[in-house]
Amino acid sequence: MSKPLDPAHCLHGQGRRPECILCGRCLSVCPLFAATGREELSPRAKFFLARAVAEGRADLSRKAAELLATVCLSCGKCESACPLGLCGPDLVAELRASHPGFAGFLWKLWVERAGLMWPLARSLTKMLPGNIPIEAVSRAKAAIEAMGSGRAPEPWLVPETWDRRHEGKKAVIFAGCVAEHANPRWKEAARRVLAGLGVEVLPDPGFTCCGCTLGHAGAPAAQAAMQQHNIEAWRAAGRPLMAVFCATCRCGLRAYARKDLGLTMDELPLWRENLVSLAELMGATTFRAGEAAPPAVRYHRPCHGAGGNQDLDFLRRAMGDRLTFNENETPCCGFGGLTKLTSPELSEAVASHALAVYAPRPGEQIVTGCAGCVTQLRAAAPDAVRVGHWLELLG
Amino acid sequence: MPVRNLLSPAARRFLEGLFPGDAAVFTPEETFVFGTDASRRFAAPWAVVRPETLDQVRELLAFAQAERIPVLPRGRGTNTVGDCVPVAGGIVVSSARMNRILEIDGDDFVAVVEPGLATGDLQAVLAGQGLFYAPDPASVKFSSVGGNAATCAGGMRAVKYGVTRDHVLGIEAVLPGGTVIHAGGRTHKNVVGLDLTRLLVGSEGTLGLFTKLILKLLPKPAATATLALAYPSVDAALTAAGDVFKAGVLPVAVELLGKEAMDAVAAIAGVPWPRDAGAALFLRVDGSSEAVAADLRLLAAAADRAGPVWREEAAAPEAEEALWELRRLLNPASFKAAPDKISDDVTVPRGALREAAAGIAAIGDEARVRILLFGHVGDGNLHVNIMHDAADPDERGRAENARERILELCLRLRGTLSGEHGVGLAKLPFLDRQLSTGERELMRRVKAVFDPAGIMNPQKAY
Repeated sequence: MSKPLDPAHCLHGQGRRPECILCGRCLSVCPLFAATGREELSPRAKFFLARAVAEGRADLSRKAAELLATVCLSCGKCESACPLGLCGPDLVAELRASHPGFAGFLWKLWVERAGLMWPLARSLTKMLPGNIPIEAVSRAKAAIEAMGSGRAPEPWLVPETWDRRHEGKKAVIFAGCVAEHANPRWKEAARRVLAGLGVEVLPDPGFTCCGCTLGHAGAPAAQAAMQQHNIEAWRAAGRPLMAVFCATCRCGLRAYARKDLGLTMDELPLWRENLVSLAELMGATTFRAGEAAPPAVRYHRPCHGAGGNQDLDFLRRAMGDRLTFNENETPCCGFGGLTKLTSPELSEAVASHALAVYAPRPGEQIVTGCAGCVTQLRAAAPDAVRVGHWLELLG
Repeated sequence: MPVRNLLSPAARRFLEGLFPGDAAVFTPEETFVFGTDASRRFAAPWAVVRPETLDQVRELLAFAQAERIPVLPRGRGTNTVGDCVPVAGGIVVSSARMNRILEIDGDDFVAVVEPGLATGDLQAVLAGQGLFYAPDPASVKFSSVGGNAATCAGGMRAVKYGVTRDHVLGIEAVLPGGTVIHAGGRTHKNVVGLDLTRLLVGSEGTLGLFTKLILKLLPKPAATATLALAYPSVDAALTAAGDVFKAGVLPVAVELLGKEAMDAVAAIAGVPWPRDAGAALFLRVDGSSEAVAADLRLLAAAADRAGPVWREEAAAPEAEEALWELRRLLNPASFKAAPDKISDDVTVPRGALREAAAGIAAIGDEARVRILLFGHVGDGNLHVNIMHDAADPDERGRAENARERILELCLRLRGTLSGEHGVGLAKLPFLDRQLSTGERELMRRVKAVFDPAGIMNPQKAY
């Protein structure tokens, strides 16, 4: 049911890394370089500096650690561009994981600046020690409000005939941190969609975060704990379909099958097959455009898990010519990795760059299928341009 | 040799004032990557600045000349000969924030751009307007227009369209001391005065710092088509390439892959040619769709005489793309074929190609090193990759010996040490074999006119 994912950087982390040849291909695709013109932030710079540190030719100074370990959006575009398949996010994650003080630093950062990362932080509280101070909670509340449905687009995409090919199947919804804690309406919308398709939605088995961000963040132990928790929840629910509507979550969940997390040989293919994007389940469902339909909609392709392009295929069928997507214009939103926490101004610069590339006119909309992208682009978009998850458009 | 950071506190303050915020960086960690390029050589810079305006560049070059501080122009750092490596220390000037398209004029057929623009980004914008900037170095998607001009980058289309030098009509450059010059202009013909534009192109950053380029545009050809063939041997393929030129058609590209290069590609991808083939030839034509179809027939007939063992034609974009992808895979494939490689881009007169290829193969056999031979044979430009493991001193020695003998061979055939990569640091030790003392002295005197204090990319190129 699923197509291969590209990039696949969540799946790595083993084996010897080839040496960067400094060819410079990664500069052209790195969203941090595009937004800032700072070559020292590029994957080439990181690989070059990391090697010098490893070989003792450069000190692992505070500055070096900062450049190497905090400033990466984990988008994985460099891996696709690299002739050797080198992956910047993997390098960053390994450096973080191997640095003894990093887990403490990370947790402190989360607590202090949780903000938009709050939904993930809340999932994390189950897994990591420590209490969250009250100030963090109030800050986070404000962030959640900013993230909520206030500036979501009005629904305008109205289902007409449902594709019932999956009728009678059982599914659980893997909503992800944002929908679970900050945007519960998405989960509701997903529930309605599945009902329309005739799929029986089983009770929530208590999934936690997919662990994707934690892996990039260099907290492999916490990541593995979350992954195992999710596998147990899926087992307890009877190994049903897992409907996912966040590209990053789907990317993270798919990676489970490539790691030794205790999935048995029989379970592995089932895990891969039953992990489905909600867009793909929509099949040949038809839609009509309601009154609130904008003149044009731009599809923003998430860096994570867009390899199958299920969202794009679905949105093209549903929206027709109203949808614009240009293969040469796929900027990163700037949400990923830890950059949003460590260098918020850089993250914002990347979001502004993405909007400059799209150059939406007032009244137009930007639609995507990743919770992080929605959050980030919505905050950066001008008032007259609505940004939404496609689930928010369904009437 | 390591160079001490000689930037005085006053100089640093000056740079911080001229380039506020993150437009100037000084820490070793941040400037580290600016000490290297695709040559994989390294020397630490003293500072890196990112100008956004002409005035900043003027002030910088006035200051640098007064203070005798080396200045190193840097685009994307993709050159393979060390042009961006600050061997004498100094200030690296990144063009990353001067990357705008200032003007595209479809009537004058010119584009005016800043040097930091990625060449592929320009081509993508032009394609949408039915326009065409012809130079297409292998790095086109990730190298900059300014860097392409500084190195006079070539590429596969050079057979028909020439190299970067043939497509730069004018350059705005700042000379040491801060003087701004406007070489050339926006006309496609211009014979007034000495041709400073063509002197600046290919000067490897040694004369001045480019701030604006006026590029020649062409109408985008309506159609292209590709003919790919495999032959029993490199000699047969090169004979076929010669026959092709006698057919009365000038192809856009004539590319050769030797046996070892084909094997390297086959190691990472499915290939359509028979595994025992000894060489492959890729030909491309462009023009109107009628002309392309007719030209392809002529080429096919000409290429048939040398006895191809496989052939495939493609006129649809996807089918053409599939064939050229095999050629492009050679670069990543070559990095997986052996731990290290010495790569040269020797060029010989077209008529000497067969002798050059045979000589290179013989040198490889004698030195017991594997040589990946491929290249733009339409220009006589051969890429010679000597594959080896540098960790083995004996193997490294044999590879270096083979390299020297290949350079000698190509010069004996009245060729050149480099067709498109440039001299930089990499070819400098061999330069006297091609240029006379008098010629090199003349070049140094030309440099001194532009750069009396010798601060522009010192110790490089000539």
